[in-house]
Amino acid sequence: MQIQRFSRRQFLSLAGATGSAALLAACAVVPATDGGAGVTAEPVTVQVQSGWCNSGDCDIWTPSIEMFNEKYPNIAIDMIRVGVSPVDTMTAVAGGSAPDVYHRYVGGFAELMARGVMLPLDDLIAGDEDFDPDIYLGSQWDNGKWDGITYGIPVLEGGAMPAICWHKHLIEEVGGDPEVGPTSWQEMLEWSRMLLQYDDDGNLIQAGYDPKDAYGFTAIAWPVVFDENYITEDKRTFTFDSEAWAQGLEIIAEFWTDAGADQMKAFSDQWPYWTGYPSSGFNNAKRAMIMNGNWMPGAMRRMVEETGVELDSIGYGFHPNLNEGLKAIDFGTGHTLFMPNSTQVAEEGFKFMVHMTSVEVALVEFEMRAAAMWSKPLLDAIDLSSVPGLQWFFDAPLEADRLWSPNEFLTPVQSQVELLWTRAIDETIVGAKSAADALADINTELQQGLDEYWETQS
Amino acid sequence: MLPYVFILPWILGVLLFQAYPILDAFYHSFTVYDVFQPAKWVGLRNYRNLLENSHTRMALQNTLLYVAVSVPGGLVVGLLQALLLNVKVRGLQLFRTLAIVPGTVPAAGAAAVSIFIWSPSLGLINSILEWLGLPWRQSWLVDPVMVKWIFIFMTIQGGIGMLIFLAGLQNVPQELYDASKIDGAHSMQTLLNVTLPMLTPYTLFNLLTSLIGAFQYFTGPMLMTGGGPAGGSTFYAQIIYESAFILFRMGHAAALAWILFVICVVIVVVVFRSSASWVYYEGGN
Repeated sequence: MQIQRFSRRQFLSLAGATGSAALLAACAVVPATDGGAGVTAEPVTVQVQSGWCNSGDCDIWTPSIEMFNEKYPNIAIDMIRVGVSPVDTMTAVAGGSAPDVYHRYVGGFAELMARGVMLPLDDLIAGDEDFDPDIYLGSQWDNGKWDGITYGIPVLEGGAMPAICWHKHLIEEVGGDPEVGPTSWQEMLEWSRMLLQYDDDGNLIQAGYDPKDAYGFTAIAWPVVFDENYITEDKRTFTFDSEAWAQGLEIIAEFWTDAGADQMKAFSDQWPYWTGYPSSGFNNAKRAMIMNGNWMPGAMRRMVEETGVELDSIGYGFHPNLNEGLKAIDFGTGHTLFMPNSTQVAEEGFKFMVHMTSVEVALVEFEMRAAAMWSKPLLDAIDLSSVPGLQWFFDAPLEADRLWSPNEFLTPVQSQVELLWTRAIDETIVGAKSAADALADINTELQQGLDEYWETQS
Repeated sequence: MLPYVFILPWILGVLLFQAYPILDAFYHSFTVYDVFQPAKWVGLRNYRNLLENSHTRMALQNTLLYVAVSVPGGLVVGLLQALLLNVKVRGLQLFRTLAIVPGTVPAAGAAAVSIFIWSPSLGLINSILEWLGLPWRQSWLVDPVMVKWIFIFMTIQGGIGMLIFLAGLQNVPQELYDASKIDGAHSMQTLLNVTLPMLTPYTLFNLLTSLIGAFQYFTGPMLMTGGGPAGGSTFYAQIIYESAFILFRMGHAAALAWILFVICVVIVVVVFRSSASWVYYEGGN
């Protein structure tokens, strides 16, 4: 028998060639598509991912998909009931394993829109006779736009409007008008101080207001409150280092230092911010005031029995503004549907997206959560008076002096903005830096990230 | 030929999953790169920016403090545990099992439980202090100085290092102990002159793996405090993760990773060089 021998050199050449081939295969770029085939008679499956309202009494998706299947029996919806994060989305799209439709709050998707990871929808919108963007009121249609191009469609509570909400009896206790609520930040600070209560061991058991609450934790809450943006209109320069932001951050920190940072932290561990939870500090009247969106009256109604709160005892009003007297509101929250540009079933996916904007789906949400988006046909179909407080949110944009669109404050480095804004708040609260210094530092760091973004785009 | 066939999977694995990423990261550390757009060459700018960034410096300081305290602390605790578990007593297997159990708990699970242990109002530690009437209640995870010591304290444990020391202890030849006994050495002298020198190869191994692991530490702080408050528990590996996978700044992250790589290499070389003077191999070096 003849044995063929390899020399070491031959072996290393072979190993090198095999390795190189594997590397090249691994690094091959999967070409992005512009949407793939049209709606066909062949059965097509559209994968949809959402981590929101997808189980138990709050499963909006199952009835919505059933209604969709009646309209489009050839399009199957494969629902992935897992939370969507920008990181997961980035890796899924880069790896070619992304679903066809993502459902998520717009904030984390700003950088993905800005980097062209999401599919532009303008052509699909123009070609779909069933869809009318004019159903959206105010600036909420802009929730899924970047640089004039539409990447996302607001659905369900898309374009939610945050406001300041308060327990009337607690405001009355500190001498405030329970029907008017707080009208300035100084007033909120004073009331919050008066509302602080501690037990014998020094634990905080009642708080007034916590700026890091259900909405205030995010940087996008504050431009509307300070009446000043943190980025220029051309999205090229950060302006966190302004006087208004320094003044605002000092006030934010004061709410914590007044109460004691450790006590506030312990209190928020025990009584969380999110009003969707029965243990929420606000829902249980442990916090007197909170900044929260138009989902709140519905969320509270669902847990009346657990918390014992009386829905009529809650007041709603515009955020106090640093520009005192200004009534400003934003559409920075809510949910939006996007498609990654890797989808092969764009037309079918878009059909599903449009379905999710329909009045029948919105009515399912209203029945389950008593929450809704600000859409003309929906407002004609529901009775807002059945949910105490909800009417205020739908009237507020009409009364506002200024309506902010998320387009104004979302940036191509939004995750970095959120990360560093949290750091600046912490640094100011613990006294590691002054508000102005903390903001100047994050401004410098953010500018580096932003400059890098523009460099990659040029 | 046959030996090369057997090691081919390993060679391919090293080339694909270690050598290539390391070299690729080196190239990308000189670029701006966000995964979706082509990388752009920027020379040393990423490195310059990092050195000027106060947050990076703070993360590096936190990490160096963590390494400086937790590595020797872990070695001492591991050694003491191993010495105890090498004593022949009834129930020895049970004690050995109990000693290794903490090391089997996943870091994420340990972090989730630890949040409640250290919580200022609901936490086990403060509750015990209160129950004992001791005035030492603290806001453990809220103070930027205290918080890093919490993480150091939490990770000083025997773990796998203890097992390795234990294996080493069982390899010390009985004749050496017999000889020291005949020479009249008391137990401390035996420990210092027989046991510890014979354990030095194991100490070297534990030292190197602990050092490398400590420089990469971030799971606990990431899950428990997110690196806060005010960067008090931000460790170096966390900012690498954040730069790459939250901020999409791959070039920046690659530069951070390479700085860490160089620091680790320098320390490993120094330890190896110094080992000639303090590590004793029974069979000769």
